[in-house]
Amino acid sequence: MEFDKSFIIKLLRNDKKAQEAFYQQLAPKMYGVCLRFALDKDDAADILQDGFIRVFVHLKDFRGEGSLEGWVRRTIVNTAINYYNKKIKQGVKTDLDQVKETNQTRSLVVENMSTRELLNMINELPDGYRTVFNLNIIEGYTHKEIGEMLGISENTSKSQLSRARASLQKRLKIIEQKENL
Amino acid sequence: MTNHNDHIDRIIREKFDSFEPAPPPRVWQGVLSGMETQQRAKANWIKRTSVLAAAFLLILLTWIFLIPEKTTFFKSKDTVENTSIDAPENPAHEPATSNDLIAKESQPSINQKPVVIQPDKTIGPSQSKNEIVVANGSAAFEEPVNPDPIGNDTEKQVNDSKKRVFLGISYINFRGLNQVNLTMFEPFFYSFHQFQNVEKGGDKNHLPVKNALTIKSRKWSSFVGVSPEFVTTTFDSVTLLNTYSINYEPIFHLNKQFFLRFGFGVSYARDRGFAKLDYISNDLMGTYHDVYDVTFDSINGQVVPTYFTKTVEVWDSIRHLVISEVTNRYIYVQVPVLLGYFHQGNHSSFNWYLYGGPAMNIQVGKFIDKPHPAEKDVEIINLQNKLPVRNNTYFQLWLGAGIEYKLSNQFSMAIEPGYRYYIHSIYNKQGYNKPLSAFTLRIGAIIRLN
Repeated sequence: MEFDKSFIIKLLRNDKKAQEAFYQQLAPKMYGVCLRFALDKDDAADILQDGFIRVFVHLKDFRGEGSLEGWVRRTIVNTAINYYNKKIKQGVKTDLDQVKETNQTRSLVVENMSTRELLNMINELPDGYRTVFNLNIIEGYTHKEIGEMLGISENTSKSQLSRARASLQKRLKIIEQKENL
Repeated sequence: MTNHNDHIDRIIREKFDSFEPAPPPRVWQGVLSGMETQQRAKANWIKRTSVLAAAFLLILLTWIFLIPEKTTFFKSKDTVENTSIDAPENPAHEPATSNDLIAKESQPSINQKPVVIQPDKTIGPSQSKNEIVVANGSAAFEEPVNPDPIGNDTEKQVNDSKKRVFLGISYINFRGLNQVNLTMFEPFFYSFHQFQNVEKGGDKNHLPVKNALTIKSRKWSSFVGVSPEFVTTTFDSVTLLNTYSINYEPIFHLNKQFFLRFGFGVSYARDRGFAKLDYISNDLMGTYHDVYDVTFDSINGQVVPTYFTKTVEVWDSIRHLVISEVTNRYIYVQVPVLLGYFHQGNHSSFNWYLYGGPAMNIQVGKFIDKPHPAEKDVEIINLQNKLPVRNNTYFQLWLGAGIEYKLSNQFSMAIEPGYRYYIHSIYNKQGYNKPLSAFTLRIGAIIRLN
């Protein structure tokens, strides 16, 4: 999705109509991002709201390097990370499930799942796993970047991703078994 | 295992790529209100910073003008060295002129062997016409002790040159011959002057001193005027946004060109707008004659009925939906702090100047109008006042130009067209955040205090 310069200038001038149009264009996609990071719809809506406020307030910092949509997405992700970090500070600890890895192929199951089902499965992951999984697998951040974003070591990021994968495998296996019955 | 994971990752990524659920409608409202909060916080920051800057400036000005000045004493010896100026030859000396001058010079403050020239006495047959008069000692000239400061011992014949040199720095406006007040603005106030009495008819050639180092006293003046202000930007539901103010602004001239103007004013602001009024009133719909009795009379063999009636009024509840005009009135105190440039005309009574700076407006009174229907005893169902209420404080940026017509040395008339930009909205209501622009025409007088 591309936005021309005149439209961005309108946004910078706090043109309400332009802002609303911009929001309507990007909100659904960004809400999808928020849903993956948040535990429920309410949290996702809060993240989306805070994220768009940050987008409009800090739009002047957008240097035009890369797409505006990508910049918005990074802002939303950062907002979600802050949300996650706040939760950590508030004492909501991340569960570290001890899940054994499995080598079984689950790709077919994943392919057959709807996005909603997949989202629900990801949302069932503990906060830490879910965040690292989202950042690495879907958003494409490296473990080093994730470590810097979350204030954890690179190895911890890798370890969390590994456990997230294992947890997902376990859930996929259960689904697969149910389908085979 | 890795390939397998990659495959699953890719499937997941693809699925989420096209995942665009509709966010709840409350999010956009939240974004709007969040943005407004941010903007208000920013405006508050600007307000706080401006208040601090204005307070700092006021404190600085207070310190400059109210704290006792630091005084530096110059030794008269130095003064002599630095300021001795050869006087022109005075072959036809006119005592009257010099007397006038010296009388003025000598009177203010000399308490110890003052340096005064009195040509009547110093230039006598027994003395050479070519003398150097030396300022004597480092006396402070606070109070005049010797009302007759003339003394021959204050003069010293230095050589036999034919020139008579005046070595003092005494001058009419000085507190003393060798006491010079210095302030932090001292560079602005030093100037070399020709003696004024020369310009008023004296002969330059007969002067004992050609030039003298003087320190001009600070130049104060003040502006008093009235100014209507017309706002050019309007809102849909606000039809009138006028302000009338009366201002008193002391002006401090930093030097010949630049001045600081500050002070206060009282402004009366009037906003007119509309309110939507939905009400039920009991209206008179009309009258009819109600027959309450009938009598029959026989006239010429015919029965003629006579009807007795009374007038009955018909009232009904009528619903009205009207647009009512409302006017809110406010009184603000204005505190401008302006920096200006003054241009003095060469041979004309007209001078012009430019100025600009922030002005703070603080509300001291408000009279909020309530929309009211034309009828009495009504039942109001719905009232929507579309005229927003102004903020308690707001800041403006003033830019103005002025033309001054000098009526006398102390009094001038001035007219100042100007532009005012409201740094943030005067209304604290969503949809009314547009900054305003206004034009003003100030008419008043400039009074010079010294």
